[in-house]
Amino acid sequence: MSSTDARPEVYRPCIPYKRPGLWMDLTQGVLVLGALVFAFATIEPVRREAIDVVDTRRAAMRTYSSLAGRVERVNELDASDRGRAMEEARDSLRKLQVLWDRAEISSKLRPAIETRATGPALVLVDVGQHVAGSGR
Amino acid sequence: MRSTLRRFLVACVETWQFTAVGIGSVAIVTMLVLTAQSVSEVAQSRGEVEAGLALAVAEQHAQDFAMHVGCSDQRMVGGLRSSLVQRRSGDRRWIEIEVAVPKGRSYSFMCEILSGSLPPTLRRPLSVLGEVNRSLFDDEFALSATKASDFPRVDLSACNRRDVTAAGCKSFVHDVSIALLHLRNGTDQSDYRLEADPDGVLRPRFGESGILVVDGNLWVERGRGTLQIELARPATLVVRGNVYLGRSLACIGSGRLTIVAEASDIGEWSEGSGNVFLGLVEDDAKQVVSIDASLVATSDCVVSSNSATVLGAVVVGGDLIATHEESRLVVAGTRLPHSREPNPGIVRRGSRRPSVLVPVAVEDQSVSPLR
Repeated sequence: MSSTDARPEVYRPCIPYKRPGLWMDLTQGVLVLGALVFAFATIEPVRREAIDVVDTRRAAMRTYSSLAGRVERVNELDASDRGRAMEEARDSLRKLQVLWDRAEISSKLRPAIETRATGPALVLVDVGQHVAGSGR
Repeated sequence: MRSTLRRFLVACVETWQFTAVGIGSVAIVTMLVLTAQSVSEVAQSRGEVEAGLALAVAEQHAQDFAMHVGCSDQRMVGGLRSSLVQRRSGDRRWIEIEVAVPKGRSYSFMCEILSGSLPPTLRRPLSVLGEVNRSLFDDEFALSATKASDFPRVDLSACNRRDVTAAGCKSFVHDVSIALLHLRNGTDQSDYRLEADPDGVLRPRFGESGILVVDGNLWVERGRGTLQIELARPATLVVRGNVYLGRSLACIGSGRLTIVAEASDIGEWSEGSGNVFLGLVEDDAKQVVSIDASLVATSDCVVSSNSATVLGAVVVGGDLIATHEESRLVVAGTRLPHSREPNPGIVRRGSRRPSVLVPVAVEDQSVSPLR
């Protein structure tokens, strides 16, 4: 045996695309890339939907509190302006109810305008309406 | 050139797996971070919704309690349990409402039961019963009609006299010469000026009642910068004389200030009484003042300042007067009191109602789904 034969064989590809095992490696790469794309494609719409729900919820709560303030201020208006202000408030309430349902805030509570002794007020109506208590 | 390209291709073949693993790891970490962020946002928004619903339910409970509309101390609305506890402090009634949402989280709110709401004039930037000098305003605007019945009235009957007098309070200094510095003939009534603490902040002791009465004229002398007044809760300063504001005022803290100039009922004074002066009377109209308070003048409001801005309400029982052609008044209305804000000493109207609810404490921060 010559000294040349004793040397360990070191792989030095001269023609890269003829390297042994190249097709196996490429297949592996494509599969990994495919898995990543699939995971991203699955997660991204869910993530976007979650962000949309969060934004809608926040918008609904903001609209609720601003409308509550507007409805409360109706009492301070002159009688001539009161009717128009209430009409606008009812329009806003309809939009709020749509937003409320889209945001899936609560299946049991819905915003509504009630007329009380102190004037109109924005309240949350219990769809199942049951009151428990000790009484005063 | 050919050998360089070959070497590059060889390097790519030898390292592509390492590169792929690196890119894959970065992609996976990015996806995990984005997913965790959106999950955390969803949980946070659930918490916000819970807090908002709890406030709305507590608000309804407080409203119903104040109006005695079939209200029990405990009620269940849409799965949220609301419990109410009453507290008394002298003539004032307080209620504490705890709202428990499913899965053990609860929110507490507190409010005072008020005898009615504030007069509408205190909720508008400007209300004048008499004549208005239109030259005070740069823009034309429609001034809503003000009825005499809407004018805020002061009632000190509920307050202890010792609590409410400004005499003895170190923020109010009796000054015999200040009027002579600004008015040729001085004044007939006693004159007081506001004196800040050494740190430049004014801390008047409004006491339990939240009211202080100045029997005489009140002066806010010119000075450098804005005079800061520290208030922890709403307060009313009743001046039985004239109010002369020569310097900007700003409130710090959670309180709001209402200054009422009342016409004195114990005699006629050469300088008049119940007037509010924005800018000192002898001003050459160059003074600029900004007042972070609501001003009520039972007589006239006289603007001598070149630019006077009032952030609260301006309510004038007499006329709104300009002393110079250059005098300007800006009624910003950015710090108007809430109609359900406890405003001491101001007579309320309408039926009983709760004050604005204040959150007390939140128990158990764990987030639970509402649905």
